[in-house]
Amino acid sequence: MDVVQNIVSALVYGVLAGGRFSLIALGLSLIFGVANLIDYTYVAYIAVAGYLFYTVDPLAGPLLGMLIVVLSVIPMALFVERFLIRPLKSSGNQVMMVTFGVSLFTQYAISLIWGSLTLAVPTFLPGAVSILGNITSMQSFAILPASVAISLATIFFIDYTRRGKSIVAVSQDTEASWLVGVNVSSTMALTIVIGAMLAAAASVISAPTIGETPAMGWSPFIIAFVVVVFGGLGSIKSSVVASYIYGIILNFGIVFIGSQWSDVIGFVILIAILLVRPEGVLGRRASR
Amino acid sequence: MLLVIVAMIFVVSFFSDDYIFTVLFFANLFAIGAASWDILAGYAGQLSFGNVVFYGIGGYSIGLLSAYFSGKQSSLLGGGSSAYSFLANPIISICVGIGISMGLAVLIGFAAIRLRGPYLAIVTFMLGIILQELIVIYGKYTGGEFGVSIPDAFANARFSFYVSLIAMAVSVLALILITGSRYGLYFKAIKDDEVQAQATGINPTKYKLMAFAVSAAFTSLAGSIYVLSYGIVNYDVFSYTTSLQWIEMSVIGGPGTIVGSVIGSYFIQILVELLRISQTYSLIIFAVVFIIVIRFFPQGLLGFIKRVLRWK
Repeated sequence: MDVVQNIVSALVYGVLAGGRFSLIALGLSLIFGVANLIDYTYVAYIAVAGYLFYTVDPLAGPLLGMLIVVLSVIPMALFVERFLIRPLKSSGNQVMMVTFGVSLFTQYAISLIWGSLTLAVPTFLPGAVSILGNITSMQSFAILPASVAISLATIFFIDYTRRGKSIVAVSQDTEASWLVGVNVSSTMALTIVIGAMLAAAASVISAPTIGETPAMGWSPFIIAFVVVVFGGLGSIKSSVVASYIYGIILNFGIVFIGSQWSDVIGFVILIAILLVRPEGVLGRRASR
Repeated sequence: MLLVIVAMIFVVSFFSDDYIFTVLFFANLFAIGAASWDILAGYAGQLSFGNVVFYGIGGYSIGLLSAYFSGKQSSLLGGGSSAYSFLANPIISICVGIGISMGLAVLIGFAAIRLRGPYLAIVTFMLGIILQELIVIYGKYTGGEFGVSIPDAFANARFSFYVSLIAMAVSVLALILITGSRYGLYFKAIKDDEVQAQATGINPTKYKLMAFAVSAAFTSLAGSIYVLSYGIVNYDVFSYTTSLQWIEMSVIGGPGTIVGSVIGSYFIQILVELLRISQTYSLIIFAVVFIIVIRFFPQGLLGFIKRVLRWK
């Protein structure tokens, strides 16, 4: 009986975790998976969004605050894309380096403005909920439907709208896209901007459940990276599926092995995928 | 060039006080770390964001070996048996550290064969974090967050500085010799175009492993010296910020040049000290310089200096 309870727990928390993971992985899946851009600024968007929300929330309330934050990463993303990424696009390594510099800069700037102590954002959904005997806070639980909604919206955008399809087109063959009339540079900018907005949204939605620290962007980034590779590059859908699978595997690990091993498990999965099946579960080959 | 720098530093050292010794001590260690990273990334093109693991291994070798085998009291772990006390000898410990690091480097190298750019970067990055956590998980044996203290640390800042200077000079000299030799050429070939290199008869696997091993060896040395000087090692020694600093120093100083990395680390270290007003300010400036350098000066400071010299 105890074992069954544990398994159920693992599944429940796994799905909840999957919701969190898929939310944070959406932006990266778009930027890295679909458009194949190596952008460490993702780390910065997460942190900036979190801290901005911390500041804005008491003034404008949670919903309006979220909107403001998500909109305010747009100029940041545009700036980075226009002045740092575009001129260096010939060398992927340089893009990686320069965006890495941006993430460091943001981390230091945040600790300058807000200090480096951990800040907490108040929860806006009180109460707790019990699923099959497993208790979780309403705030945490609410991440799941939000995640599903945003994921569906993103998938719809990529697969069914013209803009979304042009993003895929540009990543597959830039010249051909240009030839058929796609505005390549604005599409690239769009990719980064939407990716940044998704990262910001993810950060804001999970903000009350996580403390804000200047280096807070790295951990979600790594999770997102593992998930995107696990699912396979090139497909938002596969990232979403992979995040739930990963969430469940991780929680099984936590329940049966111990929570301090969770990062190790993630690492092992990442290595295993990269070395054994770089295509991930369903997607493009990772080691291009 | 290197002789000039070393000579200058040696001269300066006669007029200095403990504070300056400490600053230069770190500059030397960072120089070793940055140069080691550069030979791996700037020459062989293997972007490792986790070189700090070798540093940590070097440090923990000293820490654990002396804790277990020196026969003297040491923080949580007790003196252990003095039967194998030769193991606690710093020279032996350093060699053990280097040996283990090189072993790990080869393992990582095997993984690196199949991994390009960002994947290698992230995997190596995570490795550092994992090792940090493992230290905590097995805290019973390793001293966890609190660390291990070494009974026979270096006497004072001056001595530490001299040791670091010698180590830096030796390491950098070795690295320069390697990069100047045909191995350096092989590394560059692999970075520029691996398939082409293979076609020319260069075995990329063998030389990638070599690059990793070399990089690991010197980084490990730096880690050991750090611990020998401070007398304490804890899981902070595996902190990813150290890896990042090496990268910044190397890139700013001049990626793909050993001397550049040395210049970079000195430059940064001195800059950081000058801006001691607020540590965070100095870090931000550091980051901004990094961004500007990558964007506008891909050859780094060394490239800039060379261009200036050429103008004359």
